[in-house]
Amino acid sequence: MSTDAGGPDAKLEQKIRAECEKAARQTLQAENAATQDSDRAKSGQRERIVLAERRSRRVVRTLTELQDQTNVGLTSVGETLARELLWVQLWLSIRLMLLTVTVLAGIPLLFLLAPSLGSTTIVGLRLPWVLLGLSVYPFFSAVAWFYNCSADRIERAFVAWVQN
Amino acid sequence: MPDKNDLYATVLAVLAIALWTTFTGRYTAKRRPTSDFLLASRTMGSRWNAAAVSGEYLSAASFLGIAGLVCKGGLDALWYPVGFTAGYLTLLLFVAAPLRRSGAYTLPDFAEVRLGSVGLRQVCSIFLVIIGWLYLIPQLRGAGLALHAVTAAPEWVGAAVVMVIVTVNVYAGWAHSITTVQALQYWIKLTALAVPVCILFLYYAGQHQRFEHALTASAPPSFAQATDVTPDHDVLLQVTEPIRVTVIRTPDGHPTNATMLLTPGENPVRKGTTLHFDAGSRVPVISGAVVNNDTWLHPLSYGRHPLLATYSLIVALTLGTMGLPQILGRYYTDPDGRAARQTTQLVLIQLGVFYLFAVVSGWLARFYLPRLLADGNTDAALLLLPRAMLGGWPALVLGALVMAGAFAAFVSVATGLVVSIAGVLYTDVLPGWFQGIRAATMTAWSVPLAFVLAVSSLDLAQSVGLAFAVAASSFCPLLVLGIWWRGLTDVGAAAGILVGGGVAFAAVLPAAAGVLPPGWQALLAQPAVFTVPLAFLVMVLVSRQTKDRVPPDASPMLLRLHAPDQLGLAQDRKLDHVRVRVGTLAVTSFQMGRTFAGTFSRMGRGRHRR
Repeated sequence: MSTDAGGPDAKLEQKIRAECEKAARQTLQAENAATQDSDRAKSGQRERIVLAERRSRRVVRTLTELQDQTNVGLTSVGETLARELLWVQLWLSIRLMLLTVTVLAGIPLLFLLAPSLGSTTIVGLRLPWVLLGLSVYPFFSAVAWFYNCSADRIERAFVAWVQN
Repeated sequence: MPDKNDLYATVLAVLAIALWTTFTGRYTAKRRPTSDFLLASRTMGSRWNAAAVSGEYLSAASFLGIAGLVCKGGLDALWYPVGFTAGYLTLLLFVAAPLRRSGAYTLPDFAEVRLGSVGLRQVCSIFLVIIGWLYLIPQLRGAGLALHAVTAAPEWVGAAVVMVIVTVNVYAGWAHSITTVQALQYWIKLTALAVPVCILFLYYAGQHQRFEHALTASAPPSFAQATDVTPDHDVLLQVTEPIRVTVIRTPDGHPTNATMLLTPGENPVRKGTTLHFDAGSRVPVISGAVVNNDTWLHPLSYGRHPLLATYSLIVALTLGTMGLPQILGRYYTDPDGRAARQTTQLVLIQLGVFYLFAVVSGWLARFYLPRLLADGNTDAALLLLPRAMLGGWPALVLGALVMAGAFAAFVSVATGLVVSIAGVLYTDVLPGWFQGIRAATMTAWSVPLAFVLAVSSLDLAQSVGLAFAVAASSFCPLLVLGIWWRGLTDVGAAAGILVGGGVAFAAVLPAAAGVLPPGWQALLAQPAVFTVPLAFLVMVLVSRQTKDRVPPDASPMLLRLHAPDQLGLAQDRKLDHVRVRVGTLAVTSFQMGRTFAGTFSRMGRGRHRR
């Protein structure tokens, strides 16, 4: 993550970070309270249903801190923040998509270029059937699992960065 | 040939599914307000919602179509289940979490929230209806041929049965995509597929020596016993060596005893003709299917331009899933973006398990039901397999189970589609045209029904592929660019959807109507490989030309879509005003069901869901 947003924005940035931290803390508290609520519900007590969560009001404030005075567009810090996050996430998705596309597009190409592979057998089954009928599905799941882990990690890092 | 017991078992299975759908709908309609709206997202978890996503996704094409296509096309048909699954991987990588955070419930919602244009919303609504109709056609056809294959009922009966079940549910207000109901639909379909296929596969494994030689033979399959074949449509039969057959009934129904010589090449046979084949005779294969068993085992043997067709199919299916009308609403049940990601990860596993069984059933059909290759009814393969392999009551029970699963697929998918099409027709496409949402419902299903009755079409899986192609060429660019590129404008998005989606629709129309000019097959039946890049290109170029129309809130919007859930930026705030505006018109499927249930007043306030 870049930390090059210094200079005239430094003060503002600190202010935003503090605000974000506060908002995040309050969110956490609200979440804890919600968990306690549902715990109480499980233990058979009456549950209070909240139609509009309080969280959103604070969030609006966080969002307005990131927005500039005219209330359109982001402050330059907010802009950097958003851009950074977007690119890191997008780059992760693109890499995994390229991997998947290479594998999927590679399979027919492989059999086109080396037709003899089409009749190879693995444990009594033809290789193409094993590839397309069986092993692509665990492959998809593995890519999905890796993506979820990485995306979660990026988000945690981002939250930590915003809070510091 | 139909048997009385088969008829009873079928009627029982269809009735069971009809009653199950109606009763769960009715029961949950009463309990719904607190259970599904306020607490569902917190107590259900991604596992339930994942099963619900799969339940709403696995349609006639997956349940019956895959088996039929594998039986016909062999290895190359495996790309269909692979693509159907890979669609969710793309959805996960590019769309799932940000889309959930946008708070949009349908695709037109997303367009309006992101780009703030009512005109674009209209364009999206029209394409939503088009894609929904294209997707509904194979559901109705599937129902028709399922009943026809087992009970010899005319093809319209099955379609009518599905439409009656759906209409009753919609009218009574019981049609809504409740998470638990849709999740159970997945498990019903999986059971109805996995149990018969496991039993039949064990049976096959016990005698697979019998087929060892036939499998690799450079010849078509052969009939194990003397068989009568009656095609339902005019067919072209291909043979590799001359076959002499006895015609025992002419097309107009007169019994004869003429002999007919099928010569190498294509032989036209008119519908209604009954051909008698002796045991051991080679099977003539309808044109378009793979003739010899050894080529059937090999890649790139199906169709005219197999590599181009394969690539185009991969593009359509992997990018089209995110643009289907009924998928996005399901993600609304997830509490946040992270849960949406986990749901999708589970969906990938569930689809993989399902398709494994579907492929095995297609494999079995090639050996036990070769007559389908001659009469062209391959989509009925799964339904007829139990009877072809086993006899007596096990065949009856398994056959009824498969029929129940098939109808669960038709009804659940058709309900979701009809409800979302009717909602969009009523509020966006033709506002003021309909007396009420019920009239819109009639239109929503009568157009595809008329289409099904009027023209014969492609195989189920292929005809679903057309809906995917249009979705991939219209909504995929909108979603991907809308989520990742702040420079997108409403004019650009509308232009991309109109050009990409329009060209794709124009291309698949002849295929959907069953009048494909020969030679253009690869291009027209599966145009995605050209139309998707075209849509992206138009969208980017026009957006560049209309830079001044970039929404002023594009940057905070993108931050909202991508900010981690812990920061709490994501909220359904923007949608609230949309919801209030359209809420009174009952736009979404949720809302429609509840309007009829008379509980509408309790849910107009969309905010409490998050």
